[in-house]
Amino acid sequence: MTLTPHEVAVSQLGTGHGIPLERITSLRFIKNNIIGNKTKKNLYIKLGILSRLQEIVSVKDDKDSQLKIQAVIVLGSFAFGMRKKNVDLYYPHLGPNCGNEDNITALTNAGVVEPLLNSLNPSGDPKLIEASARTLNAIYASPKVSRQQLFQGNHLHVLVQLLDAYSSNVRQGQDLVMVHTAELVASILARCCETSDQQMKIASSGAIPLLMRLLAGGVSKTQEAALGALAALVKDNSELARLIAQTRLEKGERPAPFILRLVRDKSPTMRLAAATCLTYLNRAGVIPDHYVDIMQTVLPVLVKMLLLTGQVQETAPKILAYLIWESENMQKAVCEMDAIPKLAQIISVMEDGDLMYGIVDHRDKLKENSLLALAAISQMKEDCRKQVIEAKVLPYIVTAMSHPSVGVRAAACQCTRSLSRSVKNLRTSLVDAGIEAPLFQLLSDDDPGVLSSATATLCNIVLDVSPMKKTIMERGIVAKFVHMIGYGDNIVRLNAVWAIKNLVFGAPSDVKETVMRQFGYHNLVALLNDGELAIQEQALNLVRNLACNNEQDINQVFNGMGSGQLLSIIEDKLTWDDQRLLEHALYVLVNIATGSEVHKQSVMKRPSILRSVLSLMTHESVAIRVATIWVIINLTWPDEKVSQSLHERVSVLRSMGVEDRLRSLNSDHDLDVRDRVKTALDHFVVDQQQHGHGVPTQ
Amino acid sequence: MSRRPLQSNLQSSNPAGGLTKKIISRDEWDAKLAGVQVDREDLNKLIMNYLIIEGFKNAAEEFSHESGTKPPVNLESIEDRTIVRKAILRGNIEEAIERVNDLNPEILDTNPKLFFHLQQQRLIEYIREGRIMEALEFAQEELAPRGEENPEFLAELERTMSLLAFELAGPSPVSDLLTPAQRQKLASELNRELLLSQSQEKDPKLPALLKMCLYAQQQLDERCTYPKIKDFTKAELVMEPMGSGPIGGASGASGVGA
Repeated sequence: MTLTPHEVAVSQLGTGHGIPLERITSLRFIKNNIIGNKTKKNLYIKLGILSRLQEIVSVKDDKDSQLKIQAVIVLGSFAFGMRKKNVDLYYPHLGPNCGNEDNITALTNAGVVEPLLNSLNPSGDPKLIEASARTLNAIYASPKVSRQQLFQGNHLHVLVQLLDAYSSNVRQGQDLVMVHTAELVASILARCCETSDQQMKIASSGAIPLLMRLLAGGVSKTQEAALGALAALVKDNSELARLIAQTRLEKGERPAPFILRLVRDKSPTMRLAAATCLTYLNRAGVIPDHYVDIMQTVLPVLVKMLLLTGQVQETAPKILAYLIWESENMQKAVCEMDAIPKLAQIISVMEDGDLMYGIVDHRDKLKENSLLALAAISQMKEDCRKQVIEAKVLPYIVTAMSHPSVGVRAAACQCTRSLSRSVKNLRTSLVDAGIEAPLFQLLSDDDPGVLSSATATLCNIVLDVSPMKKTIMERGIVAKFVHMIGYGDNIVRLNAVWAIKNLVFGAPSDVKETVMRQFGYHNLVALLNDGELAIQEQALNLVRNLACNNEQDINQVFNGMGSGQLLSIIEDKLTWDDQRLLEHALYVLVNIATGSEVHKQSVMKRPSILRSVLSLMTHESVAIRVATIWVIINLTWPDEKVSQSLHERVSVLRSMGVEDRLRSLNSDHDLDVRDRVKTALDHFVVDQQQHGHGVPTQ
Repeated sequence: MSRRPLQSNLQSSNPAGGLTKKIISRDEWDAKLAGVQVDREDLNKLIMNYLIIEGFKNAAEEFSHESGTKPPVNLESIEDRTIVRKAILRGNIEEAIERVNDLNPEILDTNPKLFFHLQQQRLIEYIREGRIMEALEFAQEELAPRGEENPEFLAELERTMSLLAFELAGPSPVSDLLTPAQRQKLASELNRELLLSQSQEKDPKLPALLKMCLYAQQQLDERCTYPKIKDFTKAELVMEPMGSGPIGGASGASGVGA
């Protein structure tokens, strides 16, 4: 059987072949065959080329760099994917770069990363260093590749040294190679900077001043790569963000105004890189002086990118979403720039197009990011939510809730979550758009992100006394929540308790009873003692909602939990130093005190509860002071039918010093407190007039 | 920059666009032009920018000597691009591909469209040379898989393959594929990518400035009569006779500098 030229080429790479020239020729032949050609890449991997290449790049001998260079380039070609060169190259954290995942796994399994890192040795051939950096950069494009090796030994130190492209000891004629190497290294660092630990290690290795110099250097590709690395360093890291915002470029300028000029650059990828960096700095709160610039320059630039194509269009909405999240003013501004129709256009047009190979990833990402942007824009302003509904994009959002991609599902759900914060009539349009079935489906989603958005959306939707409350209960929603509380992560558990709380809010007694029969009071008691404070808080709030409205509802809770257990829990919570926990505990008391004489007495029989209420009457928080006074008001509420026990209750409270404390609150700076105090004191005064004794001590 | 004086004239012209156009005499115009300071160094930079991006290495060297303008990049990088361009214009696509891979192996791995166009040109060259069996084999082995990966290439592939159905010398709906313009187009596409990979701008500034100038003249034509440049290769100011309409479609820009 005759060998194919490809088989011959691979066989000639073996170490047995002593003639380097022949091996170099074979490598060049292979290189020119596989570049751009996926089929040939697969063929050569099957022929076992990777172990041969690994041997060549692992040789310690530095004399023959030509052979190594060609081998490193061939390795790099295996790592490149079929996707068009894109800005993702510098933004690993914005989403998976579609490299050639299978091939990259084959490369790492063949053990090429360590020898490639070793080939970066600055005393070696600059061409070899450049080629190794390029290949490593392509390998690290895959988020699956472990970043560990890079942070071991001397590697990080060597990489950072290579950022120093503009130092004076650059050899003549090598300047282009050095600058390009620095660009590649900046990109590698951006890709290996995902955790705060990695951020700190890269920063403390001295990368920041060198990245600054690359940023100011004027070579556009290298500037973009430097922006990518700086963005990765400051993302969600206020310490580094502050450090970077306060350094100065060589001419004494701060980085922010410099980057701001790059936001207006001719190249869209540069504009995006610059806008991304400023976005992270802004979210870290370290460039407050540039608020106007962000509003007037960065926002419109990002919005205009929605009309471009490819990677820039794909990434821009995600950055936009991140930038305007939690900023009402920015959301309003973006809304006024007509971003909503543009996003709606992207989302709805994509739906009609036919699916094409290779760009499915791009389409999914574009849809996901556009939905995230819509979610962010409609997060706070009612006007913006109205625009989203008017853009007729709701049916597409609902469809996207059942999308095969987790990211799209989560983003769609985030959208419905924002929209469900709306006033009631807009919430109704969500229900009308058929949100119920897909939303319910998402409550069984494997992804915790999707699950938490879905429960959060549901929280808002079940808040109304709407027909949906009944139908979703018939679908078995409570059992699902119980399951989530048992097995979900803390965010999912929290949202599930929250949703149950909203489900019983203002609900009729029979709904409360049905919910609690399925949920089980023992589960509620467990949650009241949960390890997560936020969950305890929601559980207490649930008790507050359950024991609200009438005596029957209070009885239900008393019977369900046992009044002794309930009051012991409240007694305990009142000793905690957590404002929201205290507030909810107090309002449980407020609600119980609206009940029957038995209910009121159950509180009166707990002197330590009463003492806690008394001491909380001077709490620094207005909300808590108001809550304590409400407890007193309800416990002293005039009622002819039980005048004797009313008098006894007032007397007990008076003897504890409650009336005195109330009088001292007469001069409280808060109007609400003073109003409540007035009502409560009236009760004491009326009692005094009727019974004539128990004059308060001064 | 050269637009500024024209703009100020625009503002002084009759805003209502009445029947009579404002007339700006040759003297007035010359005086205005004389008032505009154009830095000689800036002009030299513009020319250097054009020579480098279009790949005229020798001319750039000469110009650098004569004018003392320092080239902003290594002139060797021009030579690399020139070699690639020449190989394409000769129809030696394989050589061009090998050169590009030596210069930067990332380019063709990350630009499927450009890579496809190069392979398509190889196919065209096989057909031109009458190496039909090789053409078929090449199309099957190299081009068809790319078409599978990116269906947008399929139409172009089909069009190229239909060259086989026609007499090469005769007229056909696909004869444009055999013209030098086809090679030119590819050479420019590749040149742009090489420039981008070297962090250089992909288009020279000079043609853009000429387009801007042409646009400004067209705008001005509606409002006034003035000494205008009609032939950009001569760059002479010509005063138009009264009453003539705007002149459209002047195409002098492409001739400059060639």
